[in-house]
Amino acid sequence: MPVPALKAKDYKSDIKPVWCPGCGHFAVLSALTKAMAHLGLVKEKVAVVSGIGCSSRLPAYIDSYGFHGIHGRALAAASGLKAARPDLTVVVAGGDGDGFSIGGNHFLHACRRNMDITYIVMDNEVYGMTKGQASPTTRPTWSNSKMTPHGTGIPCFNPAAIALAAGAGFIARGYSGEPSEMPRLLVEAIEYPGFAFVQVLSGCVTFRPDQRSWKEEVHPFINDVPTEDRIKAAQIIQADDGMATGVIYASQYPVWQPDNQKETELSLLEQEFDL
Amino acid sequence: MVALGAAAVVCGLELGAMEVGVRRVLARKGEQVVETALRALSLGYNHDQRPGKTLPLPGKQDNVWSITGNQACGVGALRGGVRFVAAYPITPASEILEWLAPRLEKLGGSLLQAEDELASINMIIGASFGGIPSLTATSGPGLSLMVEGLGLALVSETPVTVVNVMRGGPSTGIPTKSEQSDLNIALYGLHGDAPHLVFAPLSIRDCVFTTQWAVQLAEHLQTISLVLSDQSLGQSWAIIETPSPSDLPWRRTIEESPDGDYRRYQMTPDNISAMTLPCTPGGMYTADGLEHNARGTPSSMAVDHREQLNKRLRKLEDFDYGDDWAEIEGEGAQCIITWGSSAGVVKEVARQFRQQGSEIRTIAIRLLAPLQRHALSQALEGMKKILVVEQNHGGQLFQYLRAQDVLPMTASSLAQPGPLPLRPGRILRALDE
Ligand SMILES: Cc1ncc(C[n+]2csc(CCOP(=O)(O)OP(=O)(O)O)c2C)c(N)n1
Ligand code: SF4
Ligand SMILES: [Mg+2]
Repeated sequence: MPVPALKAKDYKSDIKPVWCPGCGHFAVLSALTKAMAHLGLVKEKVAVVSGIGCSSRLPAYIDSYGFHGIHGRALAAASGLKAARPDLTVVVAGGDGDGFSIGGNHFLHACRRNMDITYIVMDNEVYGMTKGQASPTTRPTWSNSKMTPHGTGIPCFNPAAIALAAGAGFIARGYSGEPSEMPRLLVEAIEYPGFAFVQVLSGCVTFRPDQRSWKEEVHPFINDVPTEDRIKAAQIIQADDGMATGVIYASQYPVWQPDNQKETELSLLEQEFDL
Repeated sequence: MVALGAAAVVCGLELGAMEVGVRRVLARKGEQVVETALRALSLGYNHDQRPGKTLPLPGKQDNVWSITGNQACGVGALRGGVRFVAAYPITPASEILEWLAPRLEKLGGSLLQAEDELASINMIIGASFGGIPSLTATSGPGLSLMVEGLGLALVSETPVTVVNVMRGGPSTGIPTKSEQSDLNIALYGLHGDAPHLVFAPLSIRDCVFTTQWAVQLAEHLQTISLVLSDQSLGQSWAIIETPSPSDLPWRRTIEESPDGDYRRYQMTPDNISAMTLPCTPGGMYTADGLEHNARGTPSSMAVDHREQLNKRLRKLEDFDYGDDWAEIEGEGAQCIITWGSSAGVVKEVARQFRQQGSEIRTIAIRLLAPLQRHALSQALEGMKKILVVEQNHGGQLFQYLRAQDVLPMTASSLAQPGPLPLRPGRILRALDE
């Protein structure tokens, strides 16, 4: 008897999310389970890895193997896992603070290392979990945080531009309020052979209620996307207001994976020390 | 230059060959320097030419290895089953990594050069979660960066081993010189109640066994092992008796066919819970640095916290580490306690003592945490004089043993920081004081 295909809900675990009602992250969870169902992924062959933040709680809500690590280090843990276990589908989920601030260095190097990993950043331009401080993607004038009462005064980080500069081969942006577009983006990202970066605009209802206006602000790219051309991609990203959604850049780079065929025994290696 | 000449005689080298070498090395410094050097060289060479002074050349010998401590740690890691390493270069640990990189590949494993130590510790945690025994090597500054990751491995019960090749500290300190000053961070560096394993190899040869033991106990007990080697062991070359292949029984307990209700952190009599690996149907769980219940679900309930704290403590405390926790030699009413590389000089002191017909006991501690308090107290029974010898400024082992209540009030401390090595004379004087 053929095994019936799994539905999106079969990929959800029985753990209830801690998220505030209305949090954008719910839709990302939904989209990911839909993408997994569409791809027919075998649950136990998937590992979802994260750091710390509201967004980083996601792994426990997926019925697969999961690793909820420490703040900012998800990509590092995922890279080690993928290097050691290339047979797994490795998905990393996290927030803008986790990925672009404390984990910024790992973001750069994961882009250039180009392992076959999908990286989903739920960007709400705020530190949700610690109750509303500015993150690297927060606009410089946003002054609702007690820690930066005059706004940060610092221009914000452009994740897509940085991913491109650091060597990522697949760059996309989605909006958690687009329930049919989001799973499609994630399917493409997971299928992409290499490091696939998906920035998801995923509003924080509690500390950024102003983000409700995102619904009206998101729009498709005006240029033809995706492009395979790095220079065009750079132009598109720089010309954009940060609210356009879709796959921006998809190109092919060599995927990095350790090259290791067992060819000898330790006892033979040890002979090098014989006098 | 005089000594070089004398040494050439001992090694059986020709004066002419030595002269060619000296000329080549010193040519840049001018003819006068070269002439003076050659005269000094031949003075030394001709000083003592009695027959029999030349040592026999060793030639091919059985059952000995020529190896450095860093390489020996690498061998121990491989013997322990390590097949994944992620690391960031640092003096004086890099040779472990450079030795391992090509050899891991040949054994079907791999070494990944990470972007920093925050990455390397988290990478090996990820790999170990995937079921591959994993290790990193570093020195003080890198260990400092890894501490948060160590806590994650400990709480998620993901085994990893860190070989920390100590150098002068704190901060960048004295990168190229040896010191045993990272005991405190190794014992106490983690936040929270975080019991774990701390080891120190007692010689270059012992780097093989201690590293293997550390890796396999981390695997068996699903915890973190810190191995405190140091520059003096790591970067010194020695001829050692071939370390006997030791097939230690300790392995990770893996659940291959979980039944319906798999609980990753299930309480068990020995507090070790079977771990499933990705790809195992029915064994899915999310490993977490958040406190959790037996199933692995995050929990801030007092009962769960207490149960898991106890589990992580008891699995280490109740384990039988056997006799390898220390090397204990000699009798008498005087005793030197030491740890790690200082065991070398302490054993030399004991040899001199015994040569003079006196008795002394030496205790060189290999397993620093959990401290084998009962066995150590027994070994100290009847001792009138106890001296704790180590190469650091604060007397870190001495303070630790004090805190653990194993030292009588009369015990004293000889703590000498790097970069100068501890000398037997200094220890002999301290015993007389
Ligand atoms: C080393 C460390 N520093 C600080 C924190 C506190 N902290 C927890 S989550 C977080 C920010 C999370 O923001 P983001 O990644 O954007 O996730 P969000 O909650 O917005 O989804 C911070 C600063 C921590 N857990 N660890
Ligand atoms: S604080 Fe914000 S990001 Fe966190 S769960 Fe609530 S709405 Fe979501
Ligand atoms: Mg955020």
